[in-house]
Amino acid sequence: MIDPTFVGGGPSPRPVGPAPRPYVPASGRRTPWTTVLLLINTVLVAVALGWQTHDHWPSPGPVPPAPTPVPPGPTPIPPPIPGVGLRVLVVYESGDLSRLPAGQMAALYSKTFRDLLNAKCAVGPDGKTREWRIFDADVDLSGESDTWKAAMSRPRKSLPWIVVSNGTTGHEGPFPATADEAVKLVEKYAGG
Amino acid sequence: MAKKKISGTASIVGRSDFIIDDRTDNGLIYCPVIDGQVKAHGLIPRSLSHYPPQMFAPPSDMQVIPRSEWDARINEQEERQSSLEHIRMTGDAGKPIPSLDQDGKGYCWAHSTTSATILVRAANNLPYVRLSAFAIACKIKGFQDQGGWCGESAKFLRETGCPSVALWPEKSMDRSNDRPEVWANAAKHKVTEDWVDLAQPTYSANLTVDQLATCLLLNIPCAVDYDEWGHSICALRWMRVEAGVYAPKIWNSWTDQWGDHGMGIINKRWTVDSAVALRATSASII
Repeated sequence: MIDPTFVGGGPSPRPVGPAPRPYVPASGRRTPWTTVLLLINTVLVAVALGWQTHDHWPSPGPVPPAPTPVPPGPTPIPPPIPGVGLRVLVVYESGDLSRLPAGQMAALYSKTFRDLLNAKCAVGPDGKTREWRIFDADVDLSGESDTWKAAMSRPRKSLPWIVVSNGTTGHEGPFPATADEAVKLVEKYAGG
Repeated sequence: MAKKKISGTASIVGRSDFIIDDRTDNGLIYCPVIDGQVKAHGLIPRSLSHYPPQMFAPPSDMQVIPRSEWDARINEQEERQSSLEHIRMTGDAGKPIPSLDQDGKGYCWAHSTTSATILVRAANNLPYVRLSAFAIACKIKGFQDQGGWCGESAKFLRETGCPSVALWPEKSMDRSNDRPEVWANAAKHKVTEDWVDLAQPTYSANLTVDQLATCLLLNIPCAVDYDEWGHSICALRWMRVEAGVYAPKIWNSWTDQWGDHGMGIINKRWTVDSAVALRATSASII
C-alpha cells in the first residue's frame, strides 16, 4: 500500500556535520614532530659549518688528483677547397721555374705524384678529369669552375705552394722539396 | 711502370724514338705521305720589316739553366717520367693526346703554337680540349692556304685564343665557322704568359739553344721554326742523344702515324730561326 504522507522522491537529505578545514599546502602543514626535526637539522648544520671553519672536521682522506688536462693537438683546419673528396692545388710562378732545385722541379710533374693524384682525387664535372691542378700564380680563371677560383683566392706565403683538401680537413704550405715528400703529404690526406 | 734510376751521360733515346739526322730519308722529312695524303709544311720565314724585333718583349727575365746542369735534369726527368712527353702520353684521362693534323695545308705555323697550348693545359691537368689550329690560320690568312711563322699565331693566341674543334672542326676552312660563339669559346683558351723571340737577333745562336733547352727542361713547350726544314713544330723535350750531344724532341702536326706517335728527335744542325715559349694559358673547363 502506498504511504499517503510520502510527498516526494529522491535521496534523503544528507546529515549536516562540522565544516571542513580549509586547504593548507604541504609546506605549511607542520606537526610538532616536524618542527622538532627542523630544529635539530638546523643545529647540526650550524655545528658542522663551525667545525669546518675551525678545521676540526675529520679529514675525508686523500683527495684524488684532478685529471691531467690533455694538451690540445693541432686544431684540424677546415677543408681549404670546397667539395667532398680529395682535391689538390699546386701554384707556381712560371717565370721562376729555373730557380727551383731540380728535384723540386721534377716533383711538380713526376709520374708517381700524378698517378697518385689521378688515383685518389675526386672526379671533376666532366666525369673524367681528376680534381687536381698545377697553376701559374697569375692564371686567368674566368673559364674555370668556382672550386678552383675559391682555391686560388686563398692566401699564399711563398711559391711554389700546395693546397690539399679532403672534404674534412686539409693542408696549405710550401710545396715539398722532393717527389717522395709530395707523395707522402698527399697520402696523409688521401686515406685508404 | 717501374721507376728506373738514370745516371751518367748515356743516351736516353729509346728504341721506338724516331731520329731526324743526316741519315734519315728525306721523304719522311720533307714530303711524307700518310694515309695517302702528302703532308704540308707552310713556314714562311719571318719578315723583320713586317714583324720587327720590337713587336715582342725579349725574354730578359729568363734565367738560363747552365749546361753543367743539363745531364742531371735530363736524368731527373727520365727517372721521374716528368717531361712534357710523358705528360702528353697520358694527358687525355690516361691515354695519349692525339697529334694534330694540318692535312695538306700550309698551316704548320698555327699548329705548332696550338700543340703547345694543348700541352700547357695537360701539364695543368685541365680537361683535354682538342683545339682548332685551322680557326687561327683561317682568320689570320683570310681563309687562304698561306704560310706563316709561329709568332703570328702566338700573337693571335694571346689576343683572341683558339676555339675547340667542337665549334670549328679540324681541317675545316668553311667561313660559316666564323661565328661569335666560336670566338667566345676561343677566349677560354688564350695564352696568358709567354716568352717570345727566343731567336731574336740580339741573342747569339748558342743562347738560343740554351734558352730552348731551359724551357724544355722546365716543361715549357716551345713553338719552333726551322727555315731549313720550311716547317714549324712544337718542341716538347730536351734529349741527350749521346754523351755531350743534345737535341729537341718535337711534336709534329702530321698525325700520330708520323715518327713515334707523331714525335721525332731533331738531331741535325738546323738553326732555330724563330721560337716562342708558351708558359701559361687561361684555365677553363671546356
